[in-house]
Amino acid sequence: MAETFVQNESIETVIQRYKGTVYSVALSYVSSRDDADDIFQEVFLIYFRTNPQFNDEEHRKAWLIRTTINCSKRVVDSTYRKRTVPMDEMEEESFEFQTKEENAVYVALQALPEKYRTVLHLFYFEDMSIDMICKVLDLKASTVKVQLMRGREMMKEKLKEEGYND
Amino acid sequence: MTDEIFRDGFCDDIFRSMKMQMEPSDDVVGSLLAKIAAEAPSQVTENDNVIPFRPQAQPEITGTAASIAAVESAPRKHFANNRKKTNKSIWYYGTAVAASIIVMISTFALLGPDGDDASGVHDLFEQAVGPNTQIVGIDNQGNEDQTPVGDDETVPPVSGEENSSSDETPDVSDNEGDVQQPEVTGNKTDNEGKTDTPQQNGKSDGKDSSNGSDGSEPGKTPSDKDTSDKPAPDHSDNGKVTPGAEGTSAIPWTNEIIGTSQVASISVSDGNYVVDGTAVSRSDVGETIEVVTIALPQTSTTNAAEVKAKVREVKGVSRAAMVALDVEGFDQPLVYANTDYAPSTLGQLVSDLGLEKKTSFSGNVRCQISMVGYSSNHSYSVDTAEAAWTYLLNQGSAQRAADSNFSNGNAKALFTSDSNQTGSQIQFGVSDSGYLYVSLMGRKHTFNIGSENAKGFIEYVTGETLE
Repeated sequence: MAETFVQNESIETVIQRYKGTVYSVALSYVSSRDDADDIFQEVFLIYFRTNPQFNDEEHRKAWLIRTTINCSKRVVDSTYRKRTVPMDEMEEESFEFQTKEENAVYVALQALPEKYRTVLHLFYFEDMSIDMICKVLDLKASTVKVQLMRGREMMKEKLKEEGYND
Repeated sequence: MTDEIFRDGFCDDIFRSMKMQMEPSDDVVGSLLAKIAAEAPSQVTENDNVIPFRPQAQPEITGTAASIAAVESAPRKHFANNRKKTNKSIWYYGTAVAASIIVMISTFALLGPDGDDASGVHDLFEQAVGPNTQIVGIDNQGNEDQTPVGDDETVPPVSGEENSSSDETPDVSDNEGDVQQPEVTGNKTDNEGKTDTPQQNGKSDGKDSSNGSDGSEPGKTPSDKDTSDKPAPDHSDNGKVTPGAEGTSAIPWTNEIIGTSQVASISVSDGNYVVDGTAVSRSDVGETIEVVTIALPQTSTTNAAEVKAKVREVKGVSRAAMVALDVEGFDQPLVYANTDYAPSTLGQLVSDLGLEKKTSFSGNVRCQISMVGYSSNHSYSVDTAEAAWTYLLNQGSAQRAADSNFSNGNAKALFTSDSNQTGSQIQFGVSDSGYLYVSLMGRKHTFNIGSENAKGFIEYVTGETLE
């Protein structure tokens, strides 16, 4: 049965539905739980304060992802310029997955340039179509396809460097 | 692995597993809901299109559930939007009608001398001020007004697609996306299904609301929604319990229930109080201050219900600072902080929160040293209690100061108290500029303890002498 789109969905429902999406997109940029927590809260506070109107659920999701990316970029920029954190603390804060393979994939993904990382994340983690990625990132379909292809190749190289051979 | 990673079957598994792990903690979500709840009152005065947030003393709260009900079906939604905008801008209608009449008279003046008959003007009038045209004009304008875009580039515009579609097809139904709906539904179903399944599977405690909010709401008819707001519980929902109902065991609090406007804040004789999600045992609460009635809305795990709740003192803590709400049908009382609590001295805060009685502090103090262009963070393991009571908390006469003073310093020490009379975590910050910052349940209090005491604390912690 097709899901009914509810324009003024309660904030609690929206948070429950998209908390994973917003958090994982943030995490793909900042690599730190603390920063991702802050971005997660900031995005939904912006959503609550501005109360944006949408055409459909896909539009809502795109808005949340776009806002998350913007917030994340701002945090990354400010972090890069203004803060130096000792290595031992970086290790404490960084995200850890359950298996070695998952950590390897995550590290390889984080090592990619931002444009490839974002496209790969949206495509593989958020199950977004190329058309949808185009809308969210305001890119042409051909650009997204090329970035996907190059991103995959770069990730394979990174994984091979880490010892994950065919 | 490198080749397999992007093959469908393999990548589905590994990416889905990774996605499931990339979720915020319940604490973070709960903290967010509390922030939203705390912000709601001021939002209501600025924008009538946000979630209503009223103290629970009202017998029935339309709130979020009502707005969902109003927009559940497309026709009802459209009507609700128009009605809302009507209430918002009476002047707008007057201006629109006046402008239409001026345009009509001008047109008549141009066309009249050429001998056109009156029917042409009548048609023009119908088009200009007829009911359909009026609704379209208001709707398009309203969308622009009601689509607030942040003043920075963080917030992407949301109305671009709506405006373009409405410009091309000035029809009442254009914003409902009649043309887009089939396509949208297909995509959305795919995305929602893939995205939400791992989240639902990932909930092991069964308390979270994601299952219910996604699974139950879309299937409801508007009439279902209407009944969901009434206190009378609907027992037809699978696995849902009714708080306070006979034979029902005590229910644990969930973030979803705490986040509802009816629970997020309360109003009692001493002022307005907001929750942060902290629950305490009944042995930690004292005498009853007053008894109130709360109309709990339906959630993914509970039915709507009207229950009695006792507002009680937290033992050892002044009711001016916080109270506990012991709600019928729930397993533990919830702690609420007074939004207007502002102790004039540090001594009053220490006394009101009962910090002298039983307070333990974190073993580590985090120090942030800011230099030109960067700052660094370090953690020190010290006897925090001794340092705190020697340099900070014994400065009872320290006067309350503006929060901004705290951030003026170049060195800051941060520590917490996880165990104290309030049941909540209290965060402390000391700035070498001479200020102590105390944060409790989202409320901030800053006191001027003097730079000598502040530096003394930081030097004790770091073992280094500050300039």
